[in-house]
Amino acid sequence: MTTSMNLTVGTFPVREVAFGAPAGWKDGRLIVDADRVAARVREDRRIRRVAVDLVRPGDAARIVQVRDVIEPRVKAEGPGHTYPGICGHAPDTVGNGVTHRYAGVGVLIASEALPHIRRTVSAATDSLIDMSGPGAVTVYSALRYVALTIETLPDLDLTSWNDALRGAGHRVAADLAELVRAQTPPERREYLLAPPAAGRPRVVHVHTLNASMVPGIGTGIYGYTQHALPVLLHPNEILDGAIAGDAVVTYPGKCTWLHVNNPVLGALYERDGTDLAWLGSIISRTRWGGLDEKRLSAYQTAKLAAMLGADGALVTWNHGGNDLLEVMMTIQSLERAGIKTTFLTIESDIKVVRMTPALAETGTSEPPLLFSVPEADAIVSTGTLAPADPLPAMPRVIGGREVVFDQERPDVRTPAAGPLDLEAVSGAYSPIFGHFDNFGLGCQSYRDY
Amino acid sequence: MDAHGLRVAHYINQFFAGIGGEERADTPPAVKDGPVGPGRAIQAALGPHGAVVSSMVCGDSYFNERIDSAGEAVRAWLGAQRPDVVIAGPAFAAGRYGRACVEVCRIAADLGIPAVTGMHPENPGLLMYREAYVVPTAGNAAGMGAALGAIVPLARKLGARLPLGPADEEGYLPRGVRRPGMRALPGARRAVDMLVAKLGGTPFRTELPVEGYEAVAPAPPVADLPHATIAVVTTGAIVPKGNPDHLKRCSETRWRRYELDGRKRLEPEEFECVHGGFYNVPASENPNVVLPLDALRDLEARGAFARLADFYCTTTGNDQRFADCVRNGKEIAELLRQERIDGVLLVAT
Amino acid sequence: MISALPPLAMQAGANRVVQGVKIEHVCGDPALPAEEDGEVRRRLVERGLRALATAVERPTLFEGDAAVVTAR
Repeated sequence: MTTSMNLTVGTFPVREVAFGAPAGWKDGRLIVDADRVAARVREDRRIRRVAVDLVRPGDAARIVQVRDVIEPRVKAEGPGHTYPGICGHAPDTVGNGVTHRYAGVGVLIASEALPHIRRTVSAATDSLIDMSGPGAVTVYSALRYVALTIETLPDLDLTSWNDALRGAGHRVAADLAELVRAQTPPERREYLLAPPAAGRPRVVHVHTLNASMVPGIGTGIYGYTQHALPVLLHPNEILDGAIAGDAVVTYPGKCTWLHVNNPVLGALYERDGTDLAWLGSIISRTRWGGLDEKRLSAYQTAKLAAMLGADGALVTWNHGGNDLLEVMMTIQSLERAGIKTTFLTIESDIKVVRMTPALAETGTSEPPLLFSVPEADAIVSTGTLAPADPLPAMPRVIGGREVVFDQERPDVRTPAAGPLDLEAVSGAYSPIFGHFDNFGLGCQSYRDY
Repeated sequence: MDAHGLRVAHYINQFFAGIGGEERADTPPAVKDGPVGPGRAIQAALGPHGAVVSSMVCGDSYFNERIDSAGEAVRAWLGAQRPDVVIAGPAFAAGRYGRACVEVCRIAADLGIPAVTGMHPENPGLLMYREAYVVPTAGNAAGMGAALGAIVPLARKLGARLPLGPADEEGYLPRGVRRPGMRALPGARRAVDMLVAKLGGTPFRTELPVEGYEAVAPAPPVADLPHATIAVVTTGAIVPKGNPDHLKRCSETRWRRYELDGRKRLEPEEFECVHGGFYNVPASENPNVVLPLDALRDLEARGAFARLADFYCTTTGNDQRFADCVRNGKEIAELLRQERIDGVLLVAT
Repeated sequence: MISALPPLAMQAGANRVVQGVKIEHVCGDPALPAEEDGEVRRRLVERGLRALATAVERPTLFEGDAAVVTAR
């Protein structure tokens, strides 16, 4: 089976971001027109106020109330709109032509969850990014940000709030990307799958993707967020933003930026045509509420892989908890269909609760995975990035003044600028945005002792 | 350690001591000075760095059938010898020998003495004490050379109280202890590498050995259900409306008891669901779908059982630590025992 | 135990397990009219009681509708 999608991605590396006018990119320097950005955000009347800040890696700064990070990308040639199907963008199939992007910069949306939304969506936690110090452990501490601190009307319902925030972020991202649509990118890379050939094992990427149990929000495929049967995507569609996050769920570090920068795509493209033949990415939704629904998703995913002629499957997931049941069932179904699997995973959420080294170590009583199947015999673990040390005070805070760590005590508000002993104040998931490295950007892991 | 280097104590069974085979498996424990049997090869491997100062020989049947007596003998032996490190076996595939070796390691650990053993990865002895340092060996004594070649260097490190690296680097079996650590390549790359290896039939090592939970012995059945007292417990975080005890949405460590005060059903005006791991609005609109009080009262009235306890217990079953779950379970069980409950319905979300 | 996810419950060591409806509403179905929802709930609880009264040796999934109660 050959696929003829061909995408050239032109990259404009960003080594410096500054406010100024006119906006534009030149030789690694991105000039941002703050007034224009603010005006674009305020086009939506649901937004009361916005502050625009620039934040750099290494700054003594802490960003709180992070809702999403978006990498500016624009179609320079070819059909469709990047980040299709959301924010009014057409749902035309993407993955062909030429796309221009910035490397090293993200539009960051910060906004404190409205109280009624805090109650409804447990995963709308208060998260933070430290740009320096012991908390600067994720890839998000290494990006440059155009940070939008947004205050919406207070009585927006969940879908309106999500829509307002996400729309603002994408308007600004699109605007920034537009600056380089007609420019010649200093770096270019072509993405196309080699035709499968004899002697190369055929591999599918089984990209299991959490769907929100709360209706109306969550990560979407061309904007489709609901639980659904598996769908086949060409990796180029993902590179063009076909999978995009929402502005509500921050745990466990899901964001739009990560999908277009998913290292699994690069790792598979690297070997496609030499020691494997990559057939495509099967997106299976996870976190179904019913056992039979979980089974159905697993069986259909394995069937799809088998119909494509897969010999092997690289399985990933992006959440925790009960999602693991259908992910493991998917691995089992694939193996039973004769398709060899590897599983790329974080370790059990439970360990994250303990962030001091002695307690981060799991003893013999704590199974590293909540659920498993005997067929899951080839696992790569990215452990957890949650740091052991308390976070220091930070002179500059963007995104809000306080952080709520216990959603059942929203009146207990911790000053964001102060030192934060996360273990003591949260007793829960690390609030560090992106502390779960689901797709294996880094080398951290767990070792058996 | 003394002027002669590492002081090693070696435990072996009747067969490797040259006493006899299965017919001598009931040999009681005996201590001998210096090395015996394969202990000589250990001593040779230690060279100038140490010596096997003492050996204990014990029959495999004796050890397994009289584990307390054998254990006391081991304790006395190690207490008297105070070695720097204990080597047990290697036991290869022999199950009783494996169990004995692992128990020796456990006793040594108890006394603060490092210990190492060796056996086949499928030796059932491994299940007895997971924290033992075990070098994987072949299935029989043909692998003695290789086994000792791995055991002795590890024993030297342990005896010198040097920190050990990860299991796959130092050559011992995973002990169920996992610690954060870096690897050479990013995870995405490692996942593709592992898949290519698996597809090509070349060896690979999983980074996360899949492990099961321990089995739980089933409680005997409720003998006389029509006369039984039943209680209901849920991990679905059903709490009085307003959550007065601030039960957490996730990572909750505690459990709570709430009185039912004769209620026939849970009303949404009085109770709600604060579980953070699923869309909890349906359960807040009708808490009976998670705590089935109305059905229980109905069945109580119809004589299916005699009496429903007039309270329930709840916690938030969402990303809890295993140790907390175990403790909570024990505490709730103790409460239910005191309240003379015959059977409990546990509803998990 | 009534659980929406018996494979998980049984792997964790639960010895008497009844399959619930869904994670969000283990003992019922809010999509049904109140009376039918109540019927679903009652049948699940009955099955649970039957399991309590049955000897088991290992994790066992209880299915079917053998009545526990003789109506008075």
